[in-house]
Amino acid sequence: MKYSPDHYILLDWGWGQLNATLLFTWVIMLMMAGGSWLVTRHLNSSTTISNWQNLLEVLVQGMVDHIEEITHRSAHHFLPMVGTLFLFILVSNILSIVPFFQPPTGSLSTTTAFALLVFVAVPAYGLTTRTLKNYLGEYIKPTILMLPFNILAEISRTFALAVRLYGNVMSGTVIGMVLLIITPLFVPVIMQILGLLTGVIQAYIFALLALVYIASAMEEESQPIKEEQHDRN
Amino acid sequence: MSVDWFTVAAQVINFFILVWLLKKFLYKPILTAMNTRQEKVHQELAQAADQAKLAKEEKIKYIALQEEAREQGQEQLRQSRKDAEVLRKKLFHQIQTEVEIAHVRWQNELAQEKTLFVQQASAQIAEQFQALATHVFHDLADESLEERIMTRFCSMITNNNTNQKKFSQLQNSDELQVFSAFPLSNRSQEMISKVLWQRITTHPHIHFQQEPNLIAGILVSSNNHKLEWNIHHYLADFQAELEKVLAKDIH
Repeated sequence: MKYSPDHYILLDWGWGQLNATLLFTWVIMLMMAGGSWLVTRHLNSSTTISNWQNLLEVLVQGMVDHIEEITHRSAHHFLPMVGTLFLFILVSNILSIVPFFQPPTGSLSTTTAFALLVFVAVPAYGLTTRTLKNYLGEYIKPTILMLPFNILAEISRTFALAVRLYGNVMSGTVIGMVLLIITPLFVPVIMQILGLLTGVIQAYIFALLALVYIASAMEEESQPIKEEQHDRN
Repeated sequence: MSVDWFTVAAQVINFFILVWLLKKFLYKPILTAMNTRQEKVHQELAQAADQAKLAKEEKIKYIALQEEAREQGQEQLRQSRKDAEVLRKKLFHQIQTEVEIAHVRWQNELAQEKTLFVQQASAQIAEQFQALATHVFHDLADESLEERIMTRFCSMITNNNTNQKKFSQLQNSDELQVFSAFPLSNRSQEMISKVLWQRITTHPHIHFQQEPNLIAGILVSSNNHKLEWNIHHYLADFQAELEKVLAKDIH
């Protein structure tokens, strides 16, 4: 039994392999970008809008509200990173119920890539509001003895981020496959529904944790959200 | 459970591409559309607030105009009532005047009719009375009315007390005219001449003439002075009484 879509090799160039993870990632990317383009090419600003536009507006506005609620900052800088993480994981996890679809989030490589992105994004965002010295100074607080622990915490939370998502999605897929073998009727359906719920929750958790890490890194010299909005306007 | 680092690198790149794609096709258009809508809504709300303010001002203006129109209406009503009252008084006065004029005219006409009626009645009564008296005198005393009138006239001339002044006016006349309502016989003429010459010592010449307008009487005239006896004063009394009765009946 193959637990990860990485194991489904479609093409092998020697220096790299085209596996199901990459293929379905492109599929998801195509769907998301294509779907967005289809909906947003005829956008209108009136009070009468299409259902698809309404759905996207609810989605985007919901993410913006959530981001601003958690960070107390404008969502302008966070939305592309956190929003894309959430949407990609969400779509990937939802599509896991489609037969023969291998969710890229069920690949440790994908979740590792995302975790690494968060790992890099945290200091990157943090340095936009803080100096390097100030940022690095956080690792030796309250004493320099905490430095290894802080570094370990940083690495472990990145590792946890990757493994949590991978474990949940992979386990859901594996359980589904096992149940299909054991009890092919009804029970897999229930487990798939539970898998959907878990997938949505995991997408939310991953994005939320990433946001919290980033926000906490920027916290030192945080600006009130209203001032930022005012500046932006 | 292994990590394919090629896949990791590819997924990182894929993620950045996806971020770019979503930024271009999702976040930016959607946020722009929502911001535009929000601005539109704000503008419409501001316009609505302006229009509400304008409507409020218009309402105040309208109420003021309505009040002004009501006051003008009331003023016009008061003026109309005043004009109507003036016109009513004027018309009433005019009608009153016309009624008074008509009343006076009617009274004049009534008085004329009354006078005419009294005159006509008096004339007829006198005529009837004369005929009646003639008949009565003839039946009862075997004497004519004319003779009785003449006797009465002669006794009036001979009576010194009653006609002294009039006789003094006739005293210097050379001629006397005697008018009678009926033809006088020679004997009557002689008798009259006799009594007149007794009083008028100058013995003027006397002419006798019949005058139908005299009502049962005899008149002596000279130089615009006259002495007469007839039933005219009886008729005048009767006429006065009749007018009194008529006036009483009319009122």
